[in-house]
Amino acid sequence: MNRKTYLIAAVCMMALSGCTQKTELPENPKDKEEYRDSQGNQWIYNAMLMRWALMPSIANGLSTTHYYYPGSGTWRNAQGATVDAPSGVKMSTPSAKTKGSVFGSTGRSRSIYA
Amino acid sequence: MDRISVTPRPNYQEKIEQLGFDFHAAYWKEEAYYLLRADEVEKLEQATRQAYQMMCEAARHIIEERPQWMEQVLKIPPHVCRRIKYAWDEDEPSLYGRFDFLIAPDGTPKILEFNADTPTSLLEASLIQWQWKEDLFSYRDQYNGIHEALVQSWKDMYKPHSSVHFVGSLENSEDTGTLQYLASTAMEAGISTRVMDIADMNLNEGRFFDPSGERITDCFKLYPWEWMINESEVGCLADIRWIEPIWKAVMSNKAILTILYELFPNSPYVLPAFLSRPQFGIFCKKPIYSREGHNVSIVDIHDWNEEVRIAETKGDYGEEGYVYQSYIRPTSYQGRYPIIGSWVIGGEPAGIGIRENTSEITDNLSEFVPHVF
Repeated sequence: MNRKTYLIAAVCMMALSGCTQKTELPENPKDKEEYRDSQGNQWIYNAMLMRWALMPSIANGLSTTHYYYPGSGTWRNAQGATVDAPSGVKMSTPSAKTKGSVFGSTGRSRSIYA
Repeated sequence: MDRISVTPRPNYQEKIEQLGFDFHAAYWKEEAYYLLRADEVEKLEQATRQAYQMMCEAARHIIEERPQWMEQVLKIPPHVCRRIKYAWDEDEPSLYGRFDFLIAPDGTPKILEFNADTPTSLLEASLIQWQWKEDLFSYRDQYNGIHEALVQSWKDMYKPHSSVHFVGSLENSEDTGTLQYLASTAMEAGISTRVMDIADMNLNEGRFFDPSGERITDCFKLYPWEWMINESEVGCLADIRWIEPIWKAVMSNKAILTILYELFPNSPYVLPAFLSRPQFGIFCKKPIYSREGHNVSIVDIHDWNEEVRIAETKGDYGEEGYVYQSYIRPTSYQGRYPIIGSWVIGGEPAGIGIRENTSEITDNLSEFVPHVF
């Protein structure tokens, strides 16, 4: 393999790897924490609402911000409607915690009083 | 109904704290009380009974006939909706709930909302105002069988020596006080209880365990279903019997008020309520999920254009949408606006607690005022 062939192969492999790699969001994000995944998507965490905002971009094909809820693994659009995951975004699974302490985080920032 | 000023008992702080009410601050002052007539109490009892029957029918209608409504309006994930259906079909029992009524000028109680999942102001409605009555007006009565109803409900749900865990967010002294009170009513019914923070529940292979390693099979939670669903769908599907049951997630939001109106438009207790903005009228605009009166406003609508009459209260709710409920001007009593919290325990009316505000929207600055009749 000459250098040119190697470089083409390497670029192809990197591009392919970028296509198949899945996003793994940070496990214990802080409020307003920003994260850029390997697919080039920009994410911003809202601790109060416990969700990641996915910024629209040409890469992910979105025209409005979408929201990902890691607790339930669900997506909502800007109007709050439940939607499928954007086609340009591949999340790693499992996305939800299945062991240990799973409840109690909202109660630290909000009151139950009705 | 009249509001009457009264001199507080000289040592009332000490007295109520002895009963575990150590989170009273400016919320309990006993500087006034409400005097009701017997026929007003009967009217409230009848309204509460009918309101609960209608609310159960509204929940049945959603769960059995329009399950997609849970996903579309309440944003509940499909797996959790199936768990709700299962819990409803299994008739998983409910301990309690509290209607908030506003008394219309003609004396009819109007349903403002149903606090079906984590109703609070329980200890003060139950023991504290009763103690106050016994000290000052022992010759009068109070519409308050809350404590006895709680004990009886536990007995109806569990055999003696059964074990129930009580969980909540124990960083909050009010939650802790309410949990301890509820645990004491269960103990009075012969049940073995443990009170712990909800964050200390350990999920393992679909089952919950407490920090000592004991399996949690039955759990009273003072923690809203919408938070639990948001925090862990897997946790909501675990093998455990919750009190309140998960079908209360369908009742414990403002959107069900629109179904209630759809099913019972002629009920004297039901106010017109809509999920989308009506064309004309004055409405109370409330988020589907909201607590402590947050993000509530009064709006005047002309040709679908909204004009604010009372500005939206602070808060960060409203993301899931709003409900427009027909506005009724509340009656002022000595410059205060009372809301009647009417308790349903074991499916039956059990008593009331009255909170009042100086503004028309009841928020976390309201005061609890005892009553007699």
